[in-house]
Amino acid sequence: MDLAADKAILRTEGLCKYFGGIKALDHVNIHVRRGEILGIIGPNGAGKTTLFNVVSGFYKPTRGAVFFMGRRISGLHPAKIARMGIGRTFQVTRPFKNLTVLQNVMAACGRDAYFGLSFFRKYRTPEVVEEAMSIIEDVGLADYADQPAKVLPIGHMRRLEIARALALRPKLLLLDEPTAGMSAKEIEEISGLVRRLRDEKGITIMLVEHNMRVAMGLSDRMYVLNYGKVIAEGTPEEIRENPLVIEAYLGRGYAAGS
Amino acid sequence: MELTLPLFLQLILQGLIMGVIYATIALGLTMVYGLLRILHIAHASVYTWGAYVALTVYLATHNILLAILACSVVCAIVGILIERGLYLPMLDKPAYVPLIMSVATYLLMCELCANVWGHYPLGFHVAELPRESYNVGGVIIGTHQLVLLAIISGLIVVLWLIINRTKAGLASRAVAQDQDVAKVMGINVRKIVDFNFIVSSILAGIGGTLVGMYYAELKPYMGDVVAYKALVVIVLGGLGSVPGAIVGSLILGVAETFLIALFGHLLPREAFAFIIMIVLLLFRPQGLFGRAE
Amino acid sequence: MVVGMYYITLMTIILIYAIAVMGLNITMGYAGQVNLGQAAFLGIGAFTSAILTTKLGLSFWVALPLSALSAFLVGILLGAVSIRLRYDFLAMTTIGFNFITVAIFLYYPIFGGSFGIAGIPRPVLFGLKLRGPAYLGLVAAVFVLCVLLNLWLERSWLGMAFETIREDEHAAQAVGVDVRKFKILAFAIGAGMAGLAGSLYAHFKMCVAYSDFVFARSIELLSMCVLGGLGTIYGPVLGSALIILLPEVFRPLRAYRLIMHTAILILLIRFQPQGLLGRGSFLQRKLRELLGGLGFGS
Repeated sequence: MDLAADKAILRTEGLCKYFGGIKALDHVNIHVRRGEILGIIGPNGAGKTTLFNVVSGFYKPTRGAVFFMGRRISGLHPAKIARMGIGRTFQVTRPFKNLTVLQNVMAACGRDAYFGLSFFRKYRTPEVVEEAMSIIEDVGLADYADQPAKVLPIGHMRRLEIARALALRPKLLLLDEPTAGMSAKEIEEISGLVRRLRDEKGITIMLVEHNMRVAMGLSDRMYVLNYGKVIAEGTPEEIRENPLVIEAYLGRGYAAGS
Repeated sequence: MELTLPLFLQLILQGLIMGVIYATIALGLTMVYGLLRILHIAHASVYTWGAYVALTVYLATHNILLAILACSVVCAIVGILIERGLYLPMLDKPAYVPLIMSVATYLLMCELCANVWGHYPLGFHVAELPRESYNVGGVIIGTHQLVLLAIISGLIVVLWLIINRTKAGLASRAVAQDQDVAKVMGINVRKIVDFNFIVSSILAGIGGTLVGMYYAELKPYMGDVVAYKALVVIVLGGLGSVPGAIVGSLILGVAETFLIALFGHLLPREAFAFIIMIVLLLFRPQGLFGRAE
Repeated sequence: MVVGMYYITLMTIILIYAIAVMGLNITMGYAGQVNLGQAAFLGIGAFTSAILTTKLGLSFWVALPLSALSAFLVGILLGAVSIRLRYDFLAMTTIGFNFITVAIFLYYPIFGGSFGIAGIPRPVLFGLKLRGPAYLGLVAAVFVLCVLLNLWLERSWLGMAFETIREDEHAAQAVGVDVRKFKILAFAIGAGMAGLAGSLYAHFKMCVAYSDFVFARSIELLSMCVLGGLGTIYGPVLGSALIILLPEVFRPLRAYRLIMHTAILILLIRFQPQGLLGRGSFLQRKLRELLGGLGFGS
């Protein structure tokens, strides 16, 4: 049915992920259009991060498949998927603590060097440093370039994660709660950054967010997950008024009255 | 080599004896792992020290019960010292830190043992231990073997009762499952950990003493083989699982005895247990009763 | 010059150990993979060299690289096994590996049983047997080679990959580092270096037996590695030097070697886990102040 799905840079087909008896993802069919900012929301435990983990290769799907630019990627090793052009951030930040911010980003510039046998070459070349620094400046961390990552406050750690993902030159960026723990001002800045990444660099963005304002403000389109199932799809306006969504978040009583 | 019924039963007996010996250390290892997620390899030095203390007291007093009592007290103290002095301060460090510390402590204590009591084996002859052999249908059974089996099995049963029928045991299982929830429920986690260390250290100490009496000698590194076999046991039984450690010890003891009897000419004896462990770690790390993580 | 020989012997031993510790440092310090069985690789290298030269009559110069290779290959095996293991299981596996290897050395006759292999020949270069100072020169050359290798590693993408794995495996995957491949390499390279050291050890002592490579030796290597500072270039040689020299300087310590190694390990891990030369260590800070005061940049 989906003409739109043909422009899809990412597509899942009947995606299921079961952990023993728990259905973290239950026949999830979504698609992400090239160049859009897609929001994924849902109550806690709905399966949002599990979805990211399956797409980025950290989990193998129990059933179903994931297609990226037409190629089946479900079941591939996460490093390979990263190299294919999917970058991600983590819900709980995972910086390379004892490496500097610059080294953290340069690590991701390795891309092709890590494959095959070309890891013999020196990594700290002027080109790589320049590339890493420009990304660091883009996310606003230029002042911290030579600091070890472990001294960064949470807001900056999340920027670092984004910078690292950007160094992969991704076509698709998975952002897992990028504004969690940030001040209002920082949220503004990150939102602006996300928009710029799409507008100026043409990166497709998939966004998991708990902050409803941010999610609705940034997304072109959204999916709502609950108990591992997709319960709604549409523009932020459509989602806002969808009784199923309201029920999922607030319980049955509220939906009737909206 | 023909596997006749008498030989089969003989191997089973031998295997069960090795099994209960492994259990004396394996139980402590699994209990500590369940609580602190640390591989308490130093536990084997409690086993060794218990035996040497018991021997010392026995030689002085010729009273085996007093010796065992003294051994229990010393082991409990040593266990607490290790827990409080070494492990608790290291809980927030990267995971290999307490592990390396435990291994180093084990070696250190064995060396100290060798320096205090000598590098050469010491005889441990207890008059009260009967050593007659009986031939029952082709199977040779020694009374000392039966005594060992009986006493250690008895201790294991006591431990089992403690874990399953006492409040402290229930609290221990709660802490092993989820420390934070246990705290919220009012359990004094510190005390529970102390309790577990005391109980398992006493078991190890008495176990070491009995083993020393059984073989009639003590060596500073007598804990070596048992320690490393105990590691295999807890993987087999499931890390943190007490029933797993009991069942696992017996299975390993018997399986190892049979494998060595059948294939002992192909590989060195010690290799069998480790190969079993590595295979387990690769294909079924949760063992028999453990939780898959 | 008996006195001179004493120092030469000491230096030779220090450097041989330093090479093995540098290997361990790569596996543990850079890639963050616990390896409590490095002595086994030392033994694999030593016995390979011993067997090739005494039983097959090959020249030392052929045996040396082959020893490194044999250890390297076994390292690949251990590395492959390590992929699916969590740190504590991995530690147990490396201990088990050490025990199995030593048991194999003791069991199969080709390794000479409890007496091991004796009569290992000295290397011959241009018709000259390398002894004493000349042998030290050889060992020093191999040591320098390893330092260069280490320096290159630190600067290459390989080293970067190792460090990302050490810091956070999942994040490493997310930036395109195939953790499986690099874990195998971390063990293999560490093992290969130990294999080199093993060969040098065998031709220095001229006899090797299973007892030279027991678990206690792995602990000795570990204590040298931790003492010097995990993840540093000169940590291994510093650790090696200190641990070997201490019992020479303080005679009474000789009988208590293992106590010394384990006590050092325990104290270090408790109070200064980064070792003497590691990041943020007392010594490193003092050195920085000193150099800074003298006008050098940091």
